[in-house]
Amino acid sequence: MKRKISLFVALIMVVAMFAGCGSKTKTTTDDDQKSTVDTSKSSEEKDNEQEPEIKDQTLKVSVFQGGFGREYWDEVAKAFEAQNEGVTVEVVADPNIGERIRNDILSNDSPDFVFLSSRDKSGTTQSLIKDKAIADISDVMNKLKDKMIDGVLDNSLLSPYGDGKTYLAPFNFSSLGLWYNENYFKTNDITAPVTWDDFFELQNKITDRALITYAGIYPGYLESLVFPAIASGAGKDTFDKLVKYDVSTLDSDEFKAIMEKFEKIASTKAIMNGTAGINHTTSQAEFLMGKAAMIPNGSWIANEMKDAPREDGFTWGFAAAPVLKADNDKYVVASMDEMYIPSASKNKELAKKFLEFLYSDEAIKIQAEKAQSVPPLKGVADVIKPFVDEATGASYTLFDKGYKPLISNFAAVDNMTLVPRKEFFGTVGQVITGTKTKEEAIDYLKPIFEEAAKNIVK
Amino acid sequence: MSTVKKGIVKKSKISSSKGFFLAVCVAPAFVLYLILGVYPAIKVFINSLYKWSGLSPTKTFIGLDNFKTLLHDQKFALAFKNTVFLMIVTTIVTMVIALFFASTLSRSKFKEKNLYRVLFFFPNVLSIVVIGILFTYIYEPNRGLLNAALNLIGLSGKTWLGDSKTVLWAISGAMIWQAVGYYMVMYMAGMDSISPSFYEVADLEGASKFKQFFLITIPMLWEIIRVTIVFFIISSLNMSFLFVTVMTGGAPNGGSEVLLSYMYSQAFTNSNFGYAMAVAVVVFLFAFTLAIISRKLTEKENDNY
Repeated sequence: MKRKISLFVALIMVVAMFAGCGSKTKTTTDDDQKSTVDTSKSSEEKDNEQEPEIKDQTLKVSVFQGGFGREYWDEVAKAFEAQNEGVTVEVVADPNIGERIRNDILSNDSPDFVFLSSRDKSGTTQSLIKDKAIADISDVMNKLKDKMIDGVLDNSLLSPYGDGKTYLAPFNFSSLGLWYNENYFKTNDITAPVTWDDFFELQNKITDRALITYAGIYPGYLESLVFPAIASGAGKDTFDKLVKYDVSTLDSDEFKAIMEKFEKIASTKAIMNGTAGINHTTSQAEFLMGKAAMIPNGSWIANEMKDAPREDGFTWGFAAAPVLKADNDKYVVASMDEMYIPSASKNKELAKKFLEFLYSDEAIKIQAEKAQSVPPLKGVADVIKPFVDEATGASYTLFDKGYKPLISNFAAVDNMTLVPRKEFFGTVGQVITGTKTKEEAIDYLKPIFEEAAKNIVK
Repeated sequence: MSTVKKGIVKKSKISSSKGFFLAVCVAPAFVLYLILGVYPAIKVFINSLYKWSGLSPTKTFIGLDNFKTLLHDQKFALAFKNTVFLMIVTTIVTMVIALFFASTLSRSKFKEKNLYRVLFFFPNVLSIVVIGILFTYIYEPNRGLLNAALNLIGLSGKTWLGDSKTVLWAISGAMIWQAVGYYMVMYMAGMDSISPSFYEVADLEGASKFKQFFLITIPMLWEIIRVTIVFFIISSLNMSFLFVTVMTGGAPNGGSEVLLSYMYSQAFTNSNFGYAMAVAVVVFLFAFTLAIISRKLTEKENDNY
């Protein structure tokens, strides 16, 4: 009898376990994602879904929670709800939002709207671009075209396939260039360099510190210095070819002339000793403590380092990256975090409406106040001025002084094990820190460019 | 005769029903293991045969192409080489230092023995991320503790994490510091169980401490050493990933990339999940093979004592 009871109990345990596994909606895997249907809803609910009424719509907004915080998103969501009766904006903010939305999308529960930092490491945006899984937002961007700073929309960052359509929208607009201690420069009667010759001449005046440092182990920070140098020295057309992996650009005299300047940074010891082995925080801290005169970075640096110790009397100064000749076009890298609507969004139209709202006067003011940032709209320098330090404010006015925004990135590639952007800046970094000559760097990059050119996502 | 037969029948019935009962009891755990352990592992093998970005529901079957690409991938080869380097260096140094300290402390008579045990174990309480950051500061070229110490004795400092010649040594330093205390405590526990009479006899016979260590301690501890070596080799695969991610991010220019960080960057930076899964398969086979080899190499008759 006891044996029968034991067997019965054990049997119940097993059956209960299987029942536990089976009672829930089937776990969605990549294989059955397509066929998974939510059977829990009544036919009445399904009918409502087919003809959604605006009052029932909930917009799922997934945003990166970084240095700009989430307060802005909460505020702007409230403002949008106030303008659109019956609409609920559900904000999910997370420093690891890239990973979270990856899981959501794989579980067939895509957010309607996404904001991710351009420095996001999850690779989610890149995956979505490769999969062509981002909705076309050209209609919204076309409406805003005249309000945008010239040159902002037509670039490979927002239009990754070069098909004339816009898929990603620009959000936080920052200028990237060379930051310096303005007080130190003024006290020592030094002016920020305009040309590379000016840059190297500074070595006669600045003897108590290196000219420059950067986050050696994260050479992507060199973008602020390297991209404008190429665009101004070799020309914008050459630059555009370079980011599409045209191998002939590497062999051009103009490109070599710029690489020579980078080589000279190492040979003249203009680079701070030890730069190759430090991260962004350390390099920024060393700069603030007066170990280096300049650092390539974005306008977020002042906020990021606001509590870090610094040399006495430190004040922020900002200059564009040096050019080869004084009359060259001058560029400033304009960094923009990206916003987009995944193709799998169930509320695309509402998401587009929300996107458009983010560029309204009301939303821009909220953004400047709560996040100390602005979108790339004309005249935003005046909006942000009251909320940021002088140099950061001034970095937004460069575009009114003849500097051109440089908004571009290497074209997305498929079927490659190497990441061309990582290889490019890593190699240029080695030239700047003196572990590779310009010839070695060019020879290293050539086969990578050739392979990348064949594998551009179209 | 019939009684015997009846007895056999009865006994076999009891044992079969007992076996059935045990099987039924074990079944839930076994099924969970299949679902949570075996199934994901099989999925990794299957996904390694596809070209897949990691997000798209559509995957393209490419057979063994990912593995063929791996064969010619120089970055993968470098990551493999770096992983093996870290494994060998950290395993040997950690085991030697842990054994040395364990032996010194367990055979010494001073009262602070337990305090040292706690102090040495302390790094294990810290998160690997914290240790990684801590060592980043120690290796910092201008203000770091290591270069400052070297300068004090008249040696010039180095860019430890920025130079491909030193970066792996620097990472292994952090890995060893983190692991030594844990293995030392394990060895001390093993040494405490060795009867003092062995050492007393050895003392009487005039054996030196050095001889006692190699002829008594090591053989008596061999089973623990075997297990810890296998354990350390496998765990160093994971540890190296964490340390590299925190300390260098693979810098300089991929010079410190290890197998798992390479897998991670292929999956998440390069959106190349199928390929990353192929790397994962190789890592699995590599770890599995290493575990077998290291067990075989350390196999030794232990019944002399």
